[in-house]
Amino acid sequence: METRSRNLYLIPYVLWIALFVITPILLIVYYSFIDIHGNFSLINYQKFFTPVYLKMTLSSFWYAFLITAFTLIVAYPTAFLLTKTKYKHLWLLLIIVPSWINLLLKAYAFLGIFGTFGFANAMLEVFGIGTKQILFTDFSFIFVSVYIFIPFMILPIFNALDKLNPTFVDASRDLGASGWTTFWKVIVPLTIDGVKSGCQVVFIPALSLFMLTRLIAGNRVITLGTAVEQHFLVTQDWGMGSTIAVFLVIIMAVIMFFTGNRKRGL
Amino acid sequence: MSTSTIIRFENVTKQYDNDAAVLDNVSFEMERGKFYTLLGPSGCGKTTILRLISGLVEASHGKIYINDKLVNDVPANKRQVNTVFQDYALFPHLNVFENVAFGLRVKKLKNADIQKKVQEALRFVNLEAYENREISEMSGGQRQRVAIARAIVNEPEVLLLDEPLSALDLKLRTEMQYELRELQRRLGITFVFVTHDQEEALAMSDEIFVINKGKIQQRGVPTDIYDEPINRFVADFIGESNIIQGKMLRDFVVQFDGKEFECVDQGFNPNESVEVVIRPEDLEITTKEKGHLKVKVDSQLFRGVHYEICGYDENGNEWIVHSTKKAVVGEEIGLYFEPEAIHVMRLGETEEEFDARLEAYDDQGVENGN
Amino acid sequence: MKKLIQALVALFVVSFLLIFWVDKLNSSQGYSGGNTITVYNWGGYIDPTLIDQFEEETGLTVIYETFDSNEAAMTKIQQGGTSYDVAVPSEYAIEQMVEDDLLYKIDHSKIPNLKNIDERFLDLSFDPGNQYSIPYFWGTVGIAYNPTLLGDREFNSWNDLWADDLRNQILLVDGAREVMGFGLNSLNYSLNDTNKDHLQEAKEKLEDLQPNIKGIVGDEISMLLANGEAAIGVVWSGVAADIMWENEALEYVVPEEGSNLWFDSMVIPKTAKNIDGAHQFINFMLNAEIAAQNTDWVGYSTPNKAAMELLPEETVTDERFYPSPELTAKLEVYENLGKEMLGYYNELYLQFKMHKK
Repeated sequence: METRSRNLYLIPYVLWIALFVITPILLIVYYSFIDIHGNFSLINYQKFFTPVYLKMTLSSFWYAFLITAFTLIVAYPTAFLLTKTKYKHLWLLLIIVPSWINLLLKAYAFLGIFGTFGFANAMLEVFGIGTKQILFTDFSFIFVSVYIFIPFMILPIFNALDKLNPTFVDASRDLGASGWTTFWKVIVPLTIDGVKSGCQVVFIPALSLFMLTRLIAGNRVITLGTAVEQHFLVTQDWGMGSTIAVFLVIIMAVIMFFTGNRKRGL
Repeated sequence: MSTSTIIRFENVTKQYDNDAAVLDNVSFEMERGKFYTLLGPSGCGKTTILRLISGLVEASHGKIYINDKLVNDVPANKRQVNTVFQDYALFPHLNVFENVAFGLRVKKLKNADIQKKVQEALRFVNLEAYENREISEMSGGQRQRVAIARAIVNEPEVLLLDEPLSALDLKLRTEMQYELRELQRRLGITFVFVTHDQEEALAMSDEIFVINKGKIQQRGVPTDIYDEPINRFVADFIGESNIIQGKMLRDFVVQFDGKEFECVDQGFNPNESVEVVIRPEDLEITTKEKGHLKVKVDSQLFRGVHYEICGYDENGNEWIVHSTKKAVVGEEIGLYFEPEAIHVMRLGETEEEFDARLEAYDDQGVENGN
Repeated sequence: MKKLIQALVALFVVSFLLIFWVDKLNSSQGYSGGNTITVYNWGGYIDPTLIDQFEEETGLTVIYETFDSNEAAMTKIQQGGTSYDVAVPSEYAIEQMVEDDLLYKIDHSKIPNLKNIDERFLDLSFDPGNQYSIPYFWGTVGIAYNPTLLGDREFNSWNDLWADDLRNQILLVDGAREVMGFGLNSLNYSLNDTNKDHLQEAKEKLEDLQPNIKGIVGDEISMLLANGEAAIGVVWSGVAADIMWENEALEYVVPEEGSNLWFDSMVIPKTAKNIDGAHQFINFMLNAEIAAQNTDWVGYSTPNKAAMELLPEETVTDERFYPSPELTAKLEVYENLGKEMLGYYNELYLQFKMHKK
């Protein structure tokens, strides 16, 4: 009786997972073997291993890596300082608030800020540097992406730092370690799980960013996400789009596996 | 100040923001190679003293010397002291070996030296075979030893121990008390041990500092503190006590409970109001007729080595007796005690005044004796 | 747990009640098959007062929905979630939809105003005999440029875009057919060319253009050009009209080598429920006065000859939007090249986009 009612409770979850997790993945895998004429074929996979798509994959990786790296560089010290402030949860909230604003809206705002007659160039003028092209460059793309992803990186790192027992820091100081050594040998290793989940949360979506590539980078940056969008909406070559999606899923799985948390206790 | 002094506090005060001082104008000296215990209830400031020594907090006022060197501005990582923390604070991302080696690696010792010293330290705490274990695989007692090894491997002149036994069960705690004392003897360095457990303090220390409300109430060897507490707080905190209001009629005669008793205390003003302490184990159960006091037994608990008997005399004062003999609840019994069992405390006496008074009549006692 | 379940049940009940209520409201206001028609059009592509006028005249209620790409519109029509009675896709989408059997034939006897349409825009290759579609607006692809930023420069040829002094000045619309199309045109090939060598040549030529390209963008191109973010844009004439309405300094030209001629036409999808209403709507939009008013509001080129007579002289003689017959002769409508060729176009377009300056 007990177990049967428990199984009943499981039904919604099983249904959910079957419908919204397993089925879509199976469909994507299925479509990836269908060519544009609706026949079963491996042509899409052959096509993926041509220079165009390999180059695209490489460039996706490169930009996702840069975005993740810069996000981390900004987010870690920010999270660290946040844990030291008096009203840390209020400050955290303030940093998280921008992530409630629609992504598209923020992207459009940056179109204005980075434009030739925008705020950024006005500042450059003031400092006597002169107007530069900011929009549609690698810089603007990475800057805006980093801006958008920062809250998602700060959150897990902040939680890890906040949970960190301060006596570990005391112990390290007590054992003769300077602040710098303590940071690298104690604080960073003990919050690495937060860093890992932050990197996952940033790297994986960054790999398939597509809207920003057009709005902020003016298609000067082409990622796998752009290609998926193109194949589904323009070419209507769902097979090729699915094939790229399959590779994205595989890549993400591999990343999750390698950055996975091995439990250490305590 | 003698050359054997290793730690000296001069009028040290620690205050956070505008709150009341955690440590209020404290001065003391500690000698090389002794086992000191800072004893007091939680929040009394004992851990603050420890952290001031280690440098993890800074004094608001006053001077702190280690080895005759003013260390107020020396950061924690530059002080020749190490700490065993209350929850051990062993780094969970490092194994036993690396935890112990941490301080040596920071000092950039050669690998071979590190290897040797870590092994030595682990042997010292009987953990030779555990080098490669993860911290999570160690029991509470083992973690305790790792924490000690991690501290002593740096060859500190002072080892600070912040309630290191509080997380252990009773049996292990008693075992570790012996081990710590033994360790201190073998190392020959100064131990400063913080605890709120008076039994622990009495059993292990060369000297105890009893602390309350940011002030040192009394310092001395365990027997002195136990036998001659300076005030009601110390008497109450160290062991169990019967404390009763009384009046010092003249030297060696004290009045309480409506009767006069012979005692060994002197140096008071005639008819001075005092508090009288008699330890429960100094009270002997006898018949009503033979006892100094008549007490009606109210309750009785079996405590293993003794019975704890609680009763009230005709004036309504509560008396606690530790006795190997059983009493009968509801019956009237007599309590007998020797003059030496009575300890008379002056109200509001400071430690200096107390020491001075004791010294004065010790000298007198010697004169009288001869 | 119990409270949670109660809360969930309450949530469900409220949701169902709301759905029921909305449904009831809809039917009480007459939103049901018989006396409503659902129109599916591009955003901002009709004068809204005309919808009110149509409702008044016919007693039908119009439900107006918009889309932002032909592909999105096709997908939604195909899925049939909403039954659209009239849709306004572009010519190549119509060709595809006919192929996929998604459209009803239009009963010309119910569209007397069809006579108003210029014969030049009837019976075209994508829909011979206008069996499935009636033209709504038409236009070209050309170069919008800002003379104040460029001095007295003129653009008569696509090849003018390749000039060395135009570094970082050009914005392109993000469309494979449009970009590959002007690449082919610049080489004097047809923009429906299927010769892979020609296509490869066009792609390589476009790659040489990369230093001059500032960005390849979407709808925001009109905002960027109007704000002077870039001096030159390769855009649809409609977009150019929008920009010039915002910033009069801009010019629009269709290069001499030729370009694309596009149509947005009204069709009746197979999912339609009110076919009669759909015909009424199409006929209404072809009325000379109505079409003139709509053209004035939307700012695109109308195929309605009768309406043109009602429009101001300077509008209909503006060669930028109503090109001369000689130039019109060089314009080509996109042909449906088949999925495979379209895929190849896209592949080359992707390569071009990935080519770094």
